[in-house]
Amino acid sequence: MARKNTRAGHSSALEISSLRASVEGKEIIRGISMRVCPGEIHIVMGPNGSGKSTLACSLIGMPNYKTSGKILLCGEEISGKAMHERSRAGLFIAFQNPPEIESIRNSNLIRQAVLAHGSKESASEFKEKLEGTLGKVGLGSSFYGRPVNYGFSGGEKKKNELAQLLMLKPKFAVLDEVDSGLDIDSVKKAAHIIRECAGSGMGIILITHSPQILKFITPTRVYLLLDGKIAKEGGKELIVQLERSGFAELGEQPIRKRT
Amino acid sequence: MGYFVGDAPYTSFKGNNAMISIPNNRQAFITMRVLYPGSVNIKVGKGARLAFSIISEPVVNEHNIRICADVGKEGMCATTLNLKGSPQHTKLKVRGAAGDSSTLALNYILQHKGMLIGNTSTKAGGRAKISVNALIMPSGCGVADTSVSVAHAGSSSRTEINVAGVLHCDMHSSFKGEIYIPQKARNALASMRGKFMAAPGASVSAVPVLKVHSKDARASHSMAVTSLSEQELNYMCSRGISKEDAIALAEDGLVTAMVNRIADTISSIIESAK
Repeated sequence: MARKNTRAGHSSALEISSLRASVEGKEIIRGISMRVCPGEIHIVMGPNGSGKSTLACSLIGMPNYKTSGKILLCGEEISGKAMHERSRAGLFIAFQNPPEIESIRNSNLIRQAVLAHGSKESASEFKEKLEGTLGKVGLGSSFYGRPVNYGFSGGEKKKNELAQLLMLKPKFAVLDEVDSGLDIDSVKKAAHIIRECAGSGMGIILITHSPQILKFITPTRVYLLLDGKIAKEGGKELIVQLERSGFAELGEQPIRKRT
Repeated sequence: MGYFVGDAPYTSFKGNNAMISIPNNRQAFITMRVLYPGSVNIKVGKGARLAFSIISEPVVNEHNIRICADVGKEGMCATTLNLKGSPQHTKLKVRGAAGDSSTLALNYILQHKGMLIGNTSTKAGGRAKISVNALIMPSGCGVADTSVSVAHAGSSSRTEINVAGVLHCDMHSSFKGEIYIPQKARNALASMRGKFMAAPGASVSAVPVLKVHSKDARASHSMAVTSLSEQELNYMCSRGISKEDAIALAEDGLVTAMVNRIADTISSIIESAK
């Protein structure tokens, strides 16, 4: 269903047009279009296997995802760009399952990342900033020197993703289930960080299937993803309907079995 | 053979052979720069402490270093060899013996150009601790053919072999690590860990050997020849880090971890000497 765009054209938006993505020959995303403006929070929900994480990985340009369609970031087409170029252009992804990298310290990875984004901060300025950021997301100072995600609990990995988000300050962020594995206090903290980022002008796509975090966030738009397509979209009322009816019923179509 | 940097207490020379003998319960921190082939014989007395660094920058094409370290009861010794320079061939032979309840660390930072054949063999007495820590990062078209063996001669002895290697194209490294625990070495504990990062064009051969005859000894090994996994690489690229910088970061991490390990063996001697 084409959504009437009543807002004036924003060259500062993240525009996704007719995005299709397949992995190992199987089409997972079957034509998704979205427009996220600075400061907006768009929620993507859907059952397991609906393509939510594939959407995230396609946007950042993971190599084994074959995509077609257009992705425009602030008017610039990034669909053909390599991952590190998309990141430097201002796109960030918080992974659902961040990998453990035993050979690299957390601080070294983040330092290299901020330098790649053009930071001119000194090493001591960076250290002070990162230590403060780790504290803000609920990680102790020991996480500064630990290997990236190595030995971290699931929740700690998610917090580390948020710390990197705060350090890199992208224009747009795709947060893939950043609330999963977090206790209620940490969920509130994560929601606060997301609201703060949006308040500073960051456009956010939040992928989740937990209604908990949505109690603390007022979304601009909510999408129901079913079988690789946007089956329904609306405002916060859609979340209420989802909680009441479930994904399949609200999608008004049977779930296609994948072969 | 070379010359000492700063003070060189308890040392003497006979031609190209240096002798360092630390009396019982004394301590020394010695640095030596080696320019020519030769040998160093080290004797650490009972309860004595020695931190000894050798910087080898030979001015010859055929180089040869022999090191023999003998640590007395309850003594501590950390010997660190930094091999640099570009002789065509280098032979390195190291023997270490740790007396009862003593500690011996044999550390290597191998940054040579050319061919290196190195052999280290050690023996650990009762309750002794031996660690062999090696960082192999040849430059140019360096080749390293190295072997380390540790033998447990007494009960409750502890040994560890730690190797890290960073090899760029056209570099080759073969490493063999051997742990031997005879029946009489009750409650011995031994480990061998190796991690090599090899770029395309480089080659690595890593062979761990465990010979354990004591029924209550514990020995373990892990050897890995690796580069960054695709998942790790993608993660770093998603943060704006290019592939080349990501690999350099991982190599730096491996090198730093081993350098820190070597530094810890030296600082433990300095701490115990206070």
